[in-house]
Amino acid sequence: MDKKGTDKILSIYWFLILTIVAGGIFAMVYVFYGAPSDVREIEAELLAQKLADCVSKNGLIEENLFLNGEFNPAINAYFTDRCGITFKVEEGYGDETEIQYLYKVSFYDIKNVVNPKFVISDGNLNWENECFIEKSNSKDYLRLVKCKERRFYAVDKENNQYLIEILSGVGKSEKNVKK
Amino acid sequence: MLKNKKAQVGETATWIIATVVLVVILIVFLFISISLSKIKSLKADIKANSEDTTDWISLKTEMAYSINPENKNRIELWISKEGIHDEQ
Repeated sequence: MDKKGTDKILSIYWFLILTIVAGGIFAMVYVFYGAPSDVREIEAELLAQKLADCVSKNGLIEENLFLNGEFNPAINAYFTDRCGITFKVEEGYGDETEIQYLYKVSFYDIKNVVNPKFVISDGNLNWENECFIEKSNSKDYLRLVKCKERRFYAVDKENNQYLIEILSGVGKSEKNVKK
Repeated sequence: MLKNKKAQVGETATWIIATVVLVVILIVFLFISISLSKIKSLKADIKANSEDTTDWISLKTEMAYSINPENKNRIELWISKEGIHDEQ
């Protein structure tokens, strides 16, 4: 083969290699950045934070949770709205068919940390049990609800001590988990 | 002439092997990208404010202690048991 022919073949070969490398890099970037990031853990933490701020300020439990010195059971009906929480989700991901959030705020008396004295809850409580399943990286587990449990201490205006446990959970697997 | 042909065959074999190695490396990286894309998640690390290192929820407990610090050990023990152990 003459030198001219060899150079021609080599040019084609280099172009082919360049295309393969560029294609490989494109595929890697597309696959990685095309996949959704799972932000549900942060969302659950923010939900818990919002609830905690709604329950207690500066170490004191909000007065409107009480009625005649006892917890007001009627608060359950409007607590979500009062805290400025909405359960609306972004449209177009297929999560709109059912409520994608849940929360449960349990108030324990300092003398009895087993049975809560009062509980406020809302959202899709059918998912509560999923919070306690030990998760792995398998696809089925990744689609389960992501939950956060936070605990803190607060007192009421009569100086009674309460331990408060907040469980918050976010579903939204269609948006956050790769299919 | 024969010597020249042998040299050409050797050179071609080198290029073919190099190409195969390159493709294999690209495939390996592609699989790594696919695996990493499946477990992309962001972890929460929310502080009371950007300059503070205190956890927002610890700040709430600290404020309550300033009002009524009784049973501190018991409270701390209870709080230390928080978490639903779903971390991966």
